[in-house]
Amino acid sequence: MVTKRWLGIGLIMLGLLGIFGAFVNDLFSLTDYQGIGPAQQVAIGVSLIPIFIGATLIPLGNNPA
Amino acid sequence: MLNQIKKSPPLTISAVLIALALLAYLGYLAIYFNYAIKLFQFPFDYDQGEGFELLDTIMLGRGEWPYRDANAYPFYSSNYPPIYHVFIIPLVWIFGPQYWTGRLVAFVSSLLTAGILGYAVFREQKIKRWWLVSLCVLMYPASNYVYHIGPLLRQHIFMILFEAAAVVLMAAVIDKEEGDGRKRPGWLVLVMLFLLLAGYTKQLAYATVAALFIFWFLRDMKRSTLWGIGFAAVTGAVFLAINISTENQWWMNTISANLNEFIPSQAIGLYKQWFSLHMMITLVAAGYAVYQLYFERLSIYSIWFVLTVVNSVTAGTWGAGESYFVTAIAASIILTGLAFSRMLDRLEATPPEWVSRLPINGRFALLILIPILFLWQANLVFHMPTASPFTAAIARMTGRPDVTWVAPQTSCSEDLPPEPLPYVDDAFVLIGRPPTVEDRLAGEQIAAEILQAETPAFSEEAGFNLYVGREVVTNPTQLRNLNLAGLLDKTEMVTMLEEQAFDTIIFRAQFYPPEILEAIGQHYEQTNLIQMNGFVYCIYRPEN
Repeated sequence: MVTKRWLGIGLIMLGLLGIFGAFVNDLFSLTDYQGIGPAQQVAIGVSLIPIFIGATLIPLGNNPA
Repeated sequence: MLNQIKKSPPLTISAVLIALALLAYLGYLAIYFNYAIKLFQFPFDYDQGEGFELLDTIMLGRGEWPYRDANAYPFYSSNYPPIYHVFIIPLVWIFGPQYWTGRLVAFVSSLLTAGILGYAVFREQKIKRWWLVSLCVLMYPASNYVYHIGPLLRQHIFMILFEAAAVVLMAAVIDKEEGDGRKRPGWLVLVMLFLLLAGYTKQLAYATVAALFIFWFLRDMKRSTLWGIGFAAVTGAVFLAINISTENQWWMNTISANLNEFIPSQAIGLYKQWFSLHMMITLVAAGYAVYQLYFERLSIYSIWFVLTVVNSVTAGTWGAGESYFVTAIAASIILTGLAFSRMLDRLEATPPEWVSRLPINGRFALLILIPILFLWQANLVFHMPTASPFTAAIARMTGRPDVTWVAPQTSCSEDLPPEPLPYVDDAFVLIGRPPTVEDRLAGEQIAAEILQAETPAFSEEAGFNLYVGREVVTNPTQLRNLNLAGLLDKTEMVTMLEEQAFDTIIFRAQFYPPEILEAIGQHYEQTNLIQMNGFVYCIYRPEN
């Protein structure tokens, strides 16, 4: 059984993965664009949602998710 | 209860409001039946693509796969999985290739889904409230989106039947297993079967599959992982078997050529429309999901709701549309019913001495508020054919016009001026108006154009060739998809058009690849324009 804490950690990891995914193109230099592009801004904004929700779930501890 | 109502003015008001809400939603059900019956009588495409789904059914009924090489005559292939069509085959065997067969199957499936949503609410009510269950059941066909696509020969609504069946059955099985500790693998096999049927009705069911397994993972990590591996293995084996028997055409047509471009403005527009039309059930569902997230265990319905709302972003891909929100609507109806039931149950259980201390009676207030919210929701999803004076008067009473002014859609003629349409819909998107006798006559006129010549028509819709018993040639949207994916060899098609091998060309939207349109433009001339269902159909003949 997964707890609220682990659900929160999972959501934070999901959000971080989303932010990392937004910069994958840059890592492999697939485009010449400098800076954070509009699609990356959207991806970061969306990824912050699970990070925020996850952070608020961690204090709920061992309650079942 | 009756005596109680007589003695209590709030309960009388509540009973009247509940009756009004039920009446409003029964009205929507009547509108849904009217639309469905008119569609059953209409023998041509109402929504572009219906005829190709009928052709898939015919092919599967003959034991042939519809996933074929579109580079060769008749340049046809399908990108839809087969389950919906398989269910229509018996009707097509008995009654022939009629549009109403598939429309009836889809329509009945939408009513069954509504029943399943109601059962999900009923099952969890401590005190059974039939009026609330009935409102939830009736809310589903009252949604503009369900109304638009429910009675069409399209597979989407059929997928949702299996999705809803899988999710509701899963909720019941896990409840029982956790209640008495006894495992029920037989029922879980049935859940997996529903999921498999949903996925092989339409690929979009992957979001429901993910929701179900995430829910199960939260409850039982080991078991859900093992069953997940098994489910993936069976799904993959079926996929592989179809792909081998179609010589890779299954993969090419349903996956490789099915990745259309994403149009952000389309996605944003549809999210806004979906929310404005379904605001009450969406807000209540979201509120209940948040409550479960922080104050109790997440139910499968909350996870289903969140994932399907997120997945509705795929409505922004080319060729997708409002139907992609219907699974989220189904989930939000269940959550709304459960939230209201839970609140009423809690207030019912409040000790009388506490109730007497409160400034207002919460139960009475809620019994008045809930039907008002449903009435508000009924107003948000307003849609109504207004050909009769009675329905036109209802439209005017709600502050709406009694006709919609809309210009016929055309891709191959001059723009036409707007015309009054006896149909009002807060989500008007060109479908939803019941087809008329004039539309049928227009369809017969287009079909007659094919009969004036010898060959099958090179047509953007299958219905006209099917109506006159000629072979269906091309599937324009799939040719477009294959072309964009670089998987279409147009040589044979262009050669046939240059040789004027087809006596009749029929356009509605000009979905064909540019080279095909160019070949038609150079070797054919426009001879007639016929308007049907608010679209201009352009007829072309070989140029002398």
